Amino acid sequence: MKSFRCSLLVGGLLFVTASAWPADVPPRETVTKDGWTIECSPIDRPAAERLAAQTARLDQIVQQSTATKIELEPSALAARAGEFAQKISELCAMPARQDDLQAELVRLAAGLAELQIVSRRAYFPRAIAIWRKSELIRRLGSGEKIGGFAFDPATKEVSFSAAASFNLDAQYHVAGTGEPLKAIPVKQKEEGPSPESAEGLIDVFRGNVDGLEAMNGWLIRLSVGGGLQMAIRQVLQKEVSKDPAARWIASGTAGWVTRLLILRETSPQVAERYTLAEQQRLASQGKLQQVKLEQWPSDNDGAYVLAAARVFRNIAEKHGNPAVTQVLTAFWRLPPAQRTSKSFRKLYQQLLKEPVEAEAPESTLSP
Amino acid sequence: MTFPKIAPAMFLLASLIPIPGFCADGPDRTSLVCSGVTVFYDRKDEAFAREFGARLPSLLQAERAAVTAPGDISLSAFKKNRDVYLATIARYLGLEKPTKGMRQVFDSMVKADLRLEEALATALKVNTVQIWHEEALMAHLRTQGEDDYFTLGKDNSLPVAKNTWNAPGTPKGAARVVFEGTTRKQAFLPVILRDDDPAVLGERVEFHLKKAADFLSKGLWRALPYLEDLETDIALHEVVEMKLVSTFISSPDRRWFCEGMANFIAYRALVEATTPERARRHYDLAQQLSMWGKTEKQIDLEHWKVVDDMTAAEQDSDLNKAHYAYATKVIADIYEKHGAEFFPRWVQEIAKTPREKATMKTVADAFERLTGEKLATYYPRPFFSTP
Repeated sequence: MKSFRCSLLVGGLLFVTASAWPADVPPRETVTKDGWTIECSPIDRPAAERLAAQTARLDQIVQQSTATKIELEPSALAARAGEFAQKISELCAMPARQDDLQAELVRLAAGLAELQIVSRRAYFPRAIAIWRKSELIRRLGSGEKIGGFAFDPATKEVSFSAAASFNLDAQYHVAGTGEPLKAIPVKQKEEGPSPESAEGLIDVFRGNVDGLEAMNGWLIRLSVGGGLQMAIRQVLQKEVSKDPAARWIASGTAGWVTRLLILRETSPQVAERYTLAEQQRLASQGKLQQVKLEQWPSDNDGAYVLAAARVFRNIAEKHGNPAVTQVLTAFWRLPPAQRTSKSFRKLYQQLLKEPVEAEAPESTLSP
Repeated sequence: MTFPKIAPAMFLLASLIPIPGFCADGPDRTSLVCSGVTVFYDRKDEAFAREFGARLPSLLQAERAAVTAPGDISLSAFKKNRDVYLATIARYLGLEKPTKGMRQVFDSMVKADLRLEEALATALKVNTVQIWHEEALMAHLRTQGEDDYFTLGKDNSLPVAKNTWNAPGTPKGAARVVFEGTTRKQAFLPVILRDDDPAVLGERVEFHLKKAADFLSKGLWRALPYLEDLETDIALHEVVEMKLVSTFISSPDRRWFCEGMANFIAYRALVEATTPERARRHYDLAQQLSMWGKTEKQIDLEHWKVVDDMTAAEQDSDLNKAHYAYATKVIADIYEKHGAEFFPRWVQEIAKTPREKATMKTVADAFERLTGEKLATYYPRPFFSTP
């Protein structure tokens, strides 16, 4: 599975313009309490101490934000693995693999649960950094690197982005992570010494936590969608011919059925958030021209996975989802060694009276 | 959607071509005619002009033949399949068959499109070549300001070929093509010679023939297939919208519903007659949503005004264009959830209220009666909002 790279500009958090360029920058100070670290410039120490006196509320805010439910939680995937396996095998017309699918979904759910923990840890450190725009500009402008912040010398604008990326390996373990967020930034007003009340700072903190939570939810949704597709592909792969030319059938079926399952379990309004298939389609448009689905690479390259899923999605869009199930039913009736791309093409032509190449993007199924 | 609103989009297609490079010489212009194409050049480039001119007709023919519609549906093929497209639209609207009015709208749209296509094909037929050494051209433009073929770019450092065209809307459609800032009626081919061009005459001619081929096929002539794709989609859109407004709902709050239905049903008509891949070359919702994503928080479908109530600036705004995509998404999401069979039932449920009394409340109530869902739950929500 490809890593899920996420990046968010936390709206309104910090987006400032330089008006001055002071020379000296005093060292940052830290206040610690109850496991929280609050970092600030000396002038904001009183503000940091006011926040430190509210650690219980800070914990509560972070905790409450976790109450934001995504529609298809990894925990639900584990609890309903049997039901989902049945639905998937019915849609794919593959009853023989229902138990296999269930076991795969349970493994996936465990991996996603691990990912949820890692992701929360990455997005919600028990650390706050109080920043004033003038100090940020001075530091960033002099070349200092501050995690999450970027500075555009031309416009003198500062922006913040909380980026996290994760990889799930073939066993659904979190195999690699990007750099976690070091501290949740809180913007302090410019004028005078620490003018912001604790309430004002807490409001800013809450807003930023909500933004990070939305980002975290996005990442988990993508992981659920991507993980499901990978799990289904791994099971279906066992059913097609060992010839790499047939792999696109398993992968494309997995892409189609994943989308359909998510669509039915959630709603059309949010289903795309689990797959981002359309955005990926646009982003990968150029790469598809090099894809030949019947020359499937060993690493399940993303452009191939996308092209294969698009073939099946196009079939469903043109002929309806039952038509996909109909073709698959006939395909699985063949002996395993005969479940090749050639026989799929032939069956498709027989049943839907047109060549399957017509549904492939960018001639990816043309000889 | 009416034709004049489309004209600015086509305007963007036109070619403003900055050409870098330099070469020294003063203008001492003359011309020759090769197979109907007039080639203007400096006298010292006589040999180049003659050889280039001799090779040009076959180049023009070959390149023109290579330019095909990305959507693979020519206007004439589209016209021929009218009844197939209209039958799909009628089915989605719960009509037994296409009405006379639907056929009339289709025919008049295609007729206007064919006239425009013909006018554009003539206008883009290259009948003039201007061969210049860049430095001489720059000197000429600095003295003259501009002429009928070239002007200076924004920073006055590059010559710009005046091949920018527009098709002014008329009540009967646009059948006239105007080259901005010129008196010309046809496009021309600019050939700008530079010192670092190949020195050997034959190689230099080959080099510029290749550049000319790229200019024609990837620039100037792309307008034709693009126009066909655009017009194919618009004609079907207008058929749906006209039918909805003339038969089912005409209240001022109807805009998003009519535009969304028109875009989506037009897309479905193309999918069913061709393939999703081809249909997306005519209308690609995901691409549209991606293009207008930055406006998502400002989208307000319920208060999207009808065209007649908008100022010209409002009509031309990005926000207005973005509303089309988000309105289409609502209808596409309803299709995903309830399928194609739902649409005729929905429209016929709306039709229980006379057109004059129907408002968006009628539409929403009909939706709720049939599905048990609130239509408003399908309205766009910013990506990072809590679902």
